Amino acid sequence: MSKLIITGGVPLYGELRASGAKNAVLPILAATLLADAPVTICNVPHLQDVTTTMELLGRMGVELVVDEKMNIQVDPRSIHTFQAPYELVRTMRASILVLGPLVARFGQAEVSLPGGCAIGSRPVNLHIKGLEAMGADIKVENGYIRARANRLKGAHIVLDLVTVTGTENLLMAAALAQGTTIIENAAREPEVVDLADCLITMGARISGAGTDTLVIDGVESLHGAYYQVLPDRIETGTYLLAGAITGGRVKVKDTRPDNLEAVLLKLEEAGAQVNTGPDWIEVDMNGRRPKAVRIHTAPYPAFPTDMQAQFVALNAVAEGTGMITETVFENRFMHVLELQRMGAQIELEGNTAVSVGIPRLTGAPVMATDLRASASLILAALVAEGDTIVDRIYHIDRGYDCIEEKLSHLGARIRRTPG
Amino acid sequence: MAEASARRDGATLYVQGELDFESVADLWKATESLFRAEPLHRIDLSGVQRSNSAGVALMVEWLYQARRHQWPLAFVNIPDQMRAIIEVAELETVLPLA
Repeated sequence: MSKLIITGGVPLYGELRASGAKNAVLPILAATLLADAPVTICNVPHLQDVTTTMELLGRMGVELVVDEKMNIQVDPRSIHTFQAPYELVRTMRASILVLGPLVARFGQAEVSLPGGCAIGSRPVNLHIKGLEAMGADIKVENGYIRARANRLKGAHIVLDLVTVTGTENLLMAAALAQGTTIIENAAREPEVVDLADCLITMGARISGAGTDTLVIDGVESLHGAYYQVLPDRIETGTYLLAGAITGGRVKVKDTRPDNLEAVLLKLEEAGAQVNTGPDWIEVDMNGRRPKAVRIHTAPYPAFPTDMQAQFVALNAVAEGTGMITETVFENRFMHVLELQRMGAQIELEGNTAVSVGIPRLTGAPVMATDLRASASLILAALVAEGDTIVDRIYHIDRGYDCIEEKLSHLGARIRRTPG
Repeated sequence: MAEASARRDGATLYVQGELDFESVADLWKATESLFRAEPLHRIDLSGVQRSNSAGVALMVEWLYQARRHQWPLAFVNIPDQMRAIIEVAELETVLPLA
């Protein structure tokens, strides 16, 4: 199994380009199933989850070709199988995103239930209830969600909880339903807006994206399109934090400052000088140690849960006492135990991590437990004395495009050892 | 629609044109019989004007066929654009690139 070896203590300086957003490209790839002609997706990040999604679509009979810039052309017309099997769904929960498009476009779907999740319970019952409200006949049996429908019908759906993938699944299904669908308490994340924009480019009629009420007037068919995925705000935030935690200066280009306001405010609170332009963000610590911050995670536009672990690492080496409360997922502090192995003084009190910052961590062998936890360990390693060996980095490859190349470009001493 | 062709000269196969999903299927049919004849040792891609991953998939299939016959095979004169796709697909250590 590959590992990352990071030698800490080097402030990071330089600029890099944000990749396309993982959390946008996966639903957009699923949305291509709705089209009756090829769809080309541009600015696709080179990630394991993208490869898994391509394998999922390919096994269904969908034709995919990739060019040298990782633009992916998807032609769904050759589809012959309507199943997402367990061996793929268990490696990537986002596979559930094919459920809505398959039922809406082909009237049938068989999608494995995802099973347990390292960061807590993430039930799919809201996806199922929403599709049933639109007329789908759904049975859960033998570990699979089996759905059948004639043409779906518009419905008024009120989501009990804010769910990003639930909103996305129902949005895609509603795009081809007969009549109008209203989704209330919808997720407002930029990735949901990006999916809506992609669907609109394919001919869908959607309003309200970015608010908590989506209105979708179903159309008979969706056509082929070219679509450019939005930049990854979590990747952007992670590299900005790499600059801040090391006392350096990092500029991320080809990104969207407007999607990162909550994170940028916390970076300023931590003492960073933050400058932005239309498509870039620069963080400069001017060689200073960061100050500890207080954060509550919550759905967009509040502070994103996907940046929580990285800020726990920042607080671990910051001046003062920081508190980070996780309100989105129930078991998302696995990185704290690993950071403690590097000398961090962090206590968990329920869903809150209380950190007393120390000037420097010490390198240690640590284990990544999920994608963002991996990012947090790498950030901590950048400011630790000596070598940190991060194991189980397949998690990081799921969500960070060329991470060691990008960090090396900023001056980090990081290398990958083959397993 | 993209078109591609191949011409054999001794142990070398010269490929020309654009390699995409459609043209690759035709090109595979056109070259399949060559892998039942005399050994091929080189596939020259200098005439490829443009390719996507379908072209790279055909390279993998050609390699598979050559290995079945235990023919040593090398891909030569690979255009930069095609080499970039090979790198995206992380196949640079799998395909024998000269």
